[in-house]
Amino acid sequence: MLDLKFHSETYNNNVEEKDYDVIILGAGPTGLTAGIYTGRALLKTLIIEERMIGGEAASTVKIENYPGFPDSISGMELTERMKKQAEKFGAKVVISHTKEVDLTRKIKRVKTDNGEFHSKVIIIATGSSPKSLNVSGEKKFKGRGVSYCSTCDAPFFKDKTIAVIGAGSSGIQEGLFLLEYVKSIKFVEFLPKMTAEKILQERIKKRENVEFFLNHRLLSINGKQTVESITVENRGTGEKKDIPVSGVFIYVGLKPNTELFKDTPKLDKYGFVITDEYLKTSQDGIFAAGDVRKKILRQVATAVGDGASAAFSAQTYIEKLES
Amino acid sequence: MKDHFSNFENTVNILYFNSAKKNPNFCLSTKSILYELNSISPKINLKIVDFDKDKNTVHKYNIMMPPATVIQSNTDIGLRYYGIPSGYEFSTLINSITIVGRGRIDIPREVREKSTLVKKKVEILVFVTPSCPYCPRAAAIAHKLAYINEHIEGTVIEANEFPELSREFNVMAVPKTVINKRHSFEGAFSEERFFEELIKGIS
Ligand SMILES: Cc1cc2nc3c(=O)[nH]c(=O)nc-3n(C[C@H](O)[C@H](O)[C@H](O)COP(=O)(O)OP(=O)(O)OC[C@H]3O[C@@H](n4cnc5c(N)ncnc54)[C@H](O)[C@@H]3O)c2cc1C
Repeated sequence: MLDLKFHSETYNNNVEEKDYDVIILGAGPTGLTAGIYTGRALLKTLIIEERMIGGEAASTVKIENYPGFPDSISGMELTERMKKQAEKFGAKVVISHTKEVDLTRKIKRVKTDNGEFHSKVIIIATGSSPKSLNVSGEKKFKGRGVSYCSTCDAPFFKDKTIAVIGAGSSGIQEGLFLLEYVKSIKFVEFLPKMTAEKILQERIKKRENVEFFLNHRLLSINGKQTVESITVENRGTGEKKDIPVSGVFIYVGLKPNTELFKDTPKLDKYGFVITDEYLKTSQDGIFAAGDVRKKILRQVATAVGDGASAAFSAQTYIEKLES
Repeated sequence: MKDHFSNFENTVNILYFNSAKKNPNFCLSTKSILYELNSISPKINLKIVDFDKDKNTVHKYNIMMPPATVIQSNTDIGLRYYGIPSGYEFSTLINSITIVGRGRIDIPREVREKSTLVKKKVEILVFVTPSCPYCPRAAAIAHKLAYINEHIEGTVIEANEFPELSREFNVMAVPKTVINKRHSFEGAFSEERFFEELIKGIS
């Protein structure tokens, strides 16, 4: 029997109903979990997703640290299950581009390509995107050797030598996956030591075909049509070095997806939404949860916790509104 | 899954180009996926074409290589899929079948209106991989545009299974979309941005 599972995301876009109790922006682990909880609270819920169901987690090959899956689970499968669960309890999920939001009035408005939707509460769960480094050559070679998605693009670098920029947990984890395809990896890390989870550090150190350039800054990505090398600088000695590579995978942290909100609700200096312990933002009726908010650890385990809390706060807010 | 097809207005006719010689393993997997779909719903018809022998049909549908899947109603509307529709690409296949089966699509009104003004032939190639979560979106837009405009053809290609084509179009990241073989862009865009890029490729 074939495994005929599929994300029903791309076609289920007919949303006739315009008015909701709760609109959740973003269908990553946070938004989907919030949807499970608001659905079970019998609040009319719409989840609007900009790009793809599952968020950043969906493009993670193997999630090893999410409780309940001792043999690990693929991010795609995990988020697919979350989506099913949210829909089971009545949340609607739609993929559409959000053009504009008005969060200041009592009834919030969200303008999308599929029309305008209204709600009493909005939960911002728009997560974050991989940060680019803005080094010379990065833009030019995007899609020509520079990549931010190893699950998508690893096969194009079969038996090649590549660089992974960033030796945090993401960089090392994705590096371990890339090693199934590539010949060798040069890791470049700005800090004097790896910051990845210790278990990942142990694993990568056992591999022979990896080399570390710690305390090194990436200066440029070079080539003619496609990537041919990178230039790095030793931050201690100032020594510069060219390293021949055919690809560069960049994992240097996250940029919050908050362009839409300008300064309502209030953001910190990096653009993350500021919340209190109830996940309330500076704006009445607007809650924020998951990777998009200012917090100490951005993982699926913390994302789902946030989603549940934000949903509970939303429920309390609506009950007060109506009492 | 069965429920999903039950409210189809139209019958979907899938034409599948199979070969025992070229890419035989990919063909075998594709065939079994299509057989399974065929058995699930009476609204899905499946016809197998022998790529090696039936030169007329291969020519008529302008098929480059097997395995190739053409998704159509009664006439060819320009929806093509090359490769095994597995992983994330299974949803691309289901999506395209759904477009034809429901006979309607969701697309922003502006894009719909503007796209009717395109009167030149446009060939959209979208390169994808089965493990790329962003790819179904790009593929879906190509197929939607092909569905609403007879001059537009949407061809989705599994990049790993067709290395020569991938090399020809310098595919090093997916989704990669190529318009009329001369303009290309990487990444999953909104319908509006995608359409802007399409216009760049034909003007
Ligand atoms: C390479 C990598 C590896 C990782 N590995 C692990 C791991 O092993 N274990 C682990 O626990 N965590 C891991 N993480 C972290 C984990 O993926 C995130 O913490 C988690 O996905 C956060 O969930 P979220 O829902 O808050 O945000 P996201 O997953 O980022 O989801 C947000 C969603 O909102 C959408 N969106 C953005 N803007 C808008 C808008 N304006 N309107 C509507 N929707 C919008 C986005 O498209 C996205 O789908 C990894 C992350 C990366 C990048």
